[in-house]
Amino acid sequence: MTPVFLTASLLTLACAADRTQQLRADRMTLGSWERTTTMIVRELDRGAIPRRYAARALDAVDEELTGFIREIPSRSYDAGTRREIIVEAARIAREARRAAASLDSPARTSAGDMLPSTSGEGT
Amino acid sequence: VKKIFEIALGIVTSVGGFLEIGSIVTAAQAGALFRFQLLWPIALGGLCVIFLVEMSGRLAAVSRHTIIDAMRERFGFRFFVLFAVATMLVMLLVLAAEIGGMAVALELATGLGFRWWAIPTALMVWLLIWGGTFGMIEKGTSLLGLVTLSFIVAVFKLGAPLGTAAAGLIPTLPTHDTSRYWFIVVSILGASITPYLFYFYSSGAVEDKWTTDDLPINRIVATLGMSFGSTISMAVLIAAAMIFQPQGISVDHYAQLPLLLAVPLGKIGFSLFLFSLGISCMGATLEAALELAYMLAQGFGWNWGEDERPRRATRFATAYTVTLLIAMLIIVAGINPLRLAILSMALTAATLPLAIGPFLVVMNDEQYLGRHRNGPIGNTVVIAVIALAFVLAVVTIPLEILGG
Repeated sequence: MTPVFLTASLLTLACAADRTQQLRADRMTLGSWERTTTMIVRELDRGAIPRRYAARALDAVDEELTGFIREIPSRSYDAGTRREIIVEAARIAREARRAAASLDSPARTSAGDMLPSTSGEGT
Repeated sequence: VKKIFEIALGIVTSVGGFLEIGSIVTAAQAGALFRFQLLWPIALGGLCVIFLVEMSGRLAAVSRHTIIDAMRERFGFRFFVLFAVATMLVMLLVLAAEIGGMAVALELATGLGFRWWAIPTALMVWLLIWGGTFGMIEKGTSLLGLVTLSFIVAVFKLGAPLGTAAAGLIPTLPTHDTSRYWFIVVSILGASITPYLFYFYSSGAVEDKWTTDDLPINRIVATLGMSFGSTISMAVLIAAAMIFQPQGISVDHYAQLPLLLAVPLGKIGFSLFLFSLGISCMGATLEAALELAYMLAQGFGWNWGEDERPRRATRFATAYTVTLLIAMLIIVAGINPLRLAILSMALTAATLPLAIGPFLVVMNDEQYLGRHRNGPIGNTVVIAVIALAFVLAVVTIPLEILGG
């Protein structure tokens, strides 16, 4: 029984380590897209990029996060973690969508006003 | 004066023609994730490609053979078929990625999806090959490609700490994302040591009727041109390290790429980026499409030559027409050009032993090169880099595909 027990323990540990690594990678992905959104809005506000490109880049954030959300159910997370990540991804995608939509609005003064500041710089 | 002009033109065209979607994307990803730590594979790939380009020019000048001609003659037709199937499939993916790069530049400029742009861009390239001459294609696009020097301007505008960055030229082990680190190393090596680059160079040397008198020029052009070209790739990496890495942004979508020049240079930088991407990918598309046709024509003994009228080299013209059409369809099908570029560069690295091993045998064959055979330094550098790229590719590609 000892070898079976040892193998099972090692496999459990390996799975847990893999899960932790995956969770870290997913959180980094979310952070990356949130800061990409902030950067695009900031560069738009300082006139460094055209509106058409900004809209496309913000759409890309939305597209990527939509794909990301679809992949989450296949991860071996507990239900709480899974929900937390999906909610966070959906929030960032919504912000990107809102910022992209505001580019079409003539009333827009600064898309950055619509975004929560994430790293203390930018908007 | 004529020789100095030839050397200058050769260097300028090598610099302008070095960058393409694979080198831009892999360098940007490396800088964003690992700051300056992955400068060393660019330097290593650059060193290897200097030797390979010099060898391909030397083979053409001394033996009047292109690489493909010589390999087919030396190893026989059966080997050529095996070699051609493997390398041409990968080159076809590279060609598709380059068409995708042009289409992406137009998408980011106009807002119309890249899939729509794949058709007119492939058609434009086809028209250029059909109606153009070798000199116009080689020198014209490469001269326009000098716009990629804007990445070097960006590095200075960003105030990059070049002393700290230089430490990245020494290989170090990753402290995080180990499998990603090695996969990017493989992709960078694949992007730097793209076989079509030096196959094309040897075909060009034969088209230009080089002789042994051209050997010194060949050596200078290969060394300086490829060194400066690698410097531009390094500039892309440094710009990404300065812009994306401090923010914790990884490069996962092509729409992020224009920020590399827009952040330091503003709207002009944005336009320069699109122009750089479009022109460099157009140059690479022209070279890759022509090289695929050269391979088929030289391998099967057809009449070939970009300066020949299409009706005098009909099978050669059909070959580049069909390869362009297939590559275009891959992009029209909607495959993401950024992912395709990374995958095709990694696959290029995996097939390097097949693409370069037989070439090295020819380069050491007295029958072809006489006293101009390879020396031990060139052989050692190329074998070591190719072996490293192959081993890493075999280990990391499955991990990357499986999401490890």
